[in-house]
Amino acid sequence: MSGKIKNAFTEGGTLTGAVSGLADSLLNSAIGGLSPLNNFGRYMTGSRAIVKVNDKIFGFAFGVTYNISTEYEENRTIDNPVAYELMPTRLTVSGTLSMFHVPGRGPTKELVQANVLSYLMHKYITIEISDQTTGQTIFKTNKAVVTNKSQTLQSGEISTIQLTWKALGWADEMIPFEPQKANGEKDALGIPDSGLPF
Amino acid sequence: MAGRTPFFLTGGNARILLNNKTVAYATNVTYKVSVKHATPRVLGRFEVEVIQPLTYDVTGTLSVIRYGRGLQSYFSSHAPDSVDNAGNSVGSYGLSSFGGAIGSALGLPTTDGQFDGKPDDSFNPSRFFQSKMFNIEIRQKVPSAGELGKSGWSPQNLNQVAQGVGQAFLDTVNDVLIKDKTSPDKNETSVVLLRDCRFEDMSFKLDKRGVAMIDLTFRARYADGDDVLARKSGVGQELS
Repeated sequence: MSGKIKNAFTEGGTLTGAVSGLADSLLNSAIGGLSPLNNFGRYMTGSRAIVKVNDKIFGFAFGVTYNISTEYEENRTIDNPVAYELMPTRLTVSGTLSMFHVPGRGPTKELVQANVLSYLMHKYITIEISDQTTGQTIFKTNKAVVTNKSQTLQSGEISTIQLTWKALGWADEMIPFEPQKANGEKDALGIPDSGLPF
Repeated sequence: MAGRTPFFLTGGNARILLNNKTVAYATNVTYKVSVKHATPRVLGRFEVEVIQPLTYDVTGTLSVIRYGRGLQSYFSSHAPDSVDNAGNSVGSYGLSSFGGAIGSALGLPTTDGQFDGKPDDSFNPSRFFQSKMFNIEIRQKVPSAGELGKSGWSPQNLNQVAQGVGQAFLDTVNDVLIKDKTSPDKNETSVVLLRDCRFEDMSFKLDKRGVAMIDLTFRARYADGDDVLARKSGVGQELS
């Protein structure tokens, strides 16, 4: 390498170049992220997402969806056009995971989905979606099961697998907590307090 | 200006390498780096909130004057030295040595450190499973390092011998560290390295007034330049 023209190809691969690049990256992530003057892209995108299942990066995933349903039933009473109360009835969490298939490394092999013999005693899996730019957790559940797997194999197209899952509970940017004033106190509108300021 | 050596990269002083071998009679190479962006807009404001990168793609074209296979025996000493008897179409871009072919099959780097691809399999359906991504490099011929005043090392005394041994050690370490290193000679420098390419299209063109041409389009995963290396963007979902 000596005697040749120095450029990014040679300097980028050298020890000093690697150390310099590492120091630059560390400085940017440690200080750059804190500075309010920096106008980074703040919106979440698919290319920033990291999906982990059972605390391991879920191989070859290209899409993830989830749906959190907090259902309430209206308590309707006679002589009142407005429902008396909205009664919490059911909380469901479900979603899908889409991935490319590398033969030999499918979801069953990774013990993500139950097989015919483990079905009755298969352990829950964990699913976590995070932002690799900020490190923020977008979604996490520690008790999920895969309820369906569908795979497409079509001529002229890359094969994809879609897993459908259900979960018990979830966390995201906010860690779940008990309401602060869940003792029947009512707010100024006479509505039982939800635990957070209106 | 008198005494000035021209230093711009031109078609005349460029060399295009594919799979670390010179592409004979290449006439044209282009590449384009595209970064798709999202422009999120929010209520109550005319301009976009931010311009957010979404994807990174590299595409390009390569054109070559096509000549036939096995011409040397017909033209013997009249053929230019660079006329390869195997021709110069895509199918001739493979390795010539048996050892190199074994190394490539095993995914091993070649003796000059290049991880060899299989561009010669690009348009052979029976070989698609074995075809591998390859690199395309654009180099500029320059006056040799000696002419630029950066003469190579030559041992003159013990101190220089020690420096030479140290430099040789550093060079070896550095060479090992670079996976996709470029290895230009002293009379040329690497300007662009398109890594992990695959040919997508090939079109053949011959008309009465011109020479036969093949136009190739390709995709690459990264476009390195002598100014910046396109590094991996982070941990992706390819690992499990």
